[in-house]
Amino acid sequence: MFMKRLMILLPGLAVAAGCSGISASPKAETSQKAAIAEKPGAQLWAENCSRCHNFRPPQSFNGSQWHAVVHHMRLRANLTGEETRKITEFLQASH
Amino acid sequence: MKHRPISFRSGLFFLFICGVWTMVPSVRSQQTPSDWVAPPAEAQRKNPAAPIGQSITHGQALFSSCVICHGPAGHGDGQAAVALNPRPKDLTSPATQLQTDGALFWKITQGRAPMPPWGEALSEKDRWDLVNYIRTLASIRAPAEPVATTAPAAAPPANAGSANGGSATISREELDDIYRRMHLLENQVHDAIPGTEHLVIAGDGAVTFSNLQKSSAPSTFNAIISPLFLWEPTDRLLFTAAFDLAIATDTTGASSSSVNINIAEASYIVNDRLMVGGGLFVVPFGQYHNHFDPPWIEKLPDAPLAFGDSALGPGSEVGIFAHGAAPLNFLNAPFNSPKVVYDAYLANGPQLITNDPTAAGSLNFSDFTDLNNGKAVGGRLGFLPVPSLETGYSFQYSQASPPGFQNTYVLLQAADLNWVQEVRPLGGVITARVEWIWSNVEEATYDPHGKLGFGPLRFGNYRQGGYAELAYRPTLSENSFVRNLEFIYRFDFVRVPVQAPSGETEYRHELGIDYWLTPSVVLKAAYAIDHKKVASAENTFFLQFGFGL
Repeated sequence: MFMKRLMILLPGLAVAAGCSGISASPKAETSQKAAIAEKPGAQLWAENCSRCHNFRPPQSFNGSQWHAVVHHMRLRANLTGEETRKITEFLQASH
Repeated sequence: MKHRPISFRSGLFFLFICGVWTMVPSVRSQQTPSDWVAPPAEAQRKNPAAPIGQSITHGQALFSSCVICHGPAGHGDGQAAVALNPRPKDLTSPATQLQTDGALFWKITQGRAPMPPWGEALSEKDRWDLVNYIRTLASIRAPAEPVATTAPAAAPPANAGSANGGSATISREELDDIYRRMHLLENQVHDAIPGTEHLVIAGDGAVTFSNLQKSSAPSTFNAIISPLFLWEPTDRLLFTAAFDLAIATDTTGASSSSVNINIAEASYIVNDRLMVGGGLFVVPFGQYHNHFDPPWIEKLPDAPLAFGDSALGPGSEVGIFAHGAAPLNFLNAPFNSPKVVYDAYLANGPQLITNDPTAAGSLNFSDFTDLNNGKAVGGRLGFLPVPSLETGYSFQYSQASPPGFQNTYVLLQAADLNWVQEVRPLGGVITARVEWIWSNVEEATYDPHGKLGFGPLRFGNYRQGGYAELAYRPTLSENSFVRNLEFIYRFDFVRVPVQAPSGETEYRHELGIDYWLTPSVVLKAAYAIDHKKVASAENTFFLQFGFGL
């Protein structure tokens, strides 16, 4: 029974969430929809880090520490190499 | 009149509230005053880009990089704003709009932590176009540029002292260059703290108070601190070590201290889509241990049953792994930067408990020795159609039986979903997390000859567990106290076969309120309503102080 419920719940939530991400974004945000390669580091930082935890302010670590921390997060959160580089650059520039 | 003594619990609750109130002003007072002023020479620079169609449209396109912090309409209420100090400025406000074009240009160019300097990423023309776009956001139209500033702009003050015109003056480009170098130097000074290069000591911890509601068992405090060491000798290589130092007390009044190593691994970046490594690693089985475990990430004071006290899946294991992620550019049209993530590993795997009459048939995930040559093979495949949603399927297949016992195989499976979305009409961020585990241990006969005194015992060993969590944080509230609150509901359960000697079917509803003192320091209060199939269940009241460094 749990399995049945889950089979309905999981795809249901996925579709609902997917749709909200796709179509519910207001006009001003449509320009945010793009391939990873086209997104700036600030945006990749916001989108990826907030999926699991609150934003850690860029001042939390210094430049070389951020390099190691984002490297660690690449392992934890399955970031691509490109995302890792852009997020690191953004945090190093903003700390 | 009879006075009721103040109960210990209400006293503690009072302390909790006091703690929140006393810390609120200190968090607020960290905000630096608005002392960010462009040098006069910069403020008087004239905008070479006319504020007309093309420049504004171009500025608007560039503004997408600003939305995360400054918000879609520039009100300073972007998704990340809640974590930043100082908070992003409201670009529509008179305070911003009454600044000169030159001043805004200078601020965009230089940045000030946490705002990055955009002088290198954006060309000079880009930055002027951005200024022109920011002008269109004004809530009140600023007067046309004051006459006083336009006049000297024709003859900038840098020229004022040099009567014979120009040779001794500093050009704009040179001045920009000086500022840029100054910023780089500042960064280098920051980075040069001895011993901090390529080495990070971070970690997290928590103090938890729990009180069972019915029994006479005393309420109790538990504590845990989990240091994390990261060492990055080269860009591709990372060594990670993490362990829990914990003090646990139980309801009988006994206490125990423990040291558990969670991570001791080396990993190597092969390319943009692949990393490999080995050691003791956090198993990518579902998302909980990999993503939400630390007390400053987990929103409730305790772990869901299936990932905590009655674990049905692995936490850490010893072995080798490969993992990575790849963008799915061909799916860009219907989705938003879709991505596939993948993990695969070979490890010692869990141990099947066979000769303990109180636990036969359950799996031990915390002993890392392997009992046989059948390694555990497992992996996870995840899909992110949009950055705010991650779903995944995990499995692990292993031989878990000890020598002398019939070969017994275990198939563990999990499905997970994590969705975090800012919903502007609701004034905040909604988090929905669902994970389910199916544990299938091959049917086996425990104590087949009755030598251990509890057999022969044979049963279909199929277990399930999981949780569904929903949280709401009003991040867009005007009130900073409200903005830092978060409300959480979680349902979690485990289902255990009736014949199994250990564990029992249990489900809980848990309600919690968190107060975020900083992005990684949190006070949590929660109440768990517990139902057990056989034994009498007890509701629990929790308070927790959790932090991450």
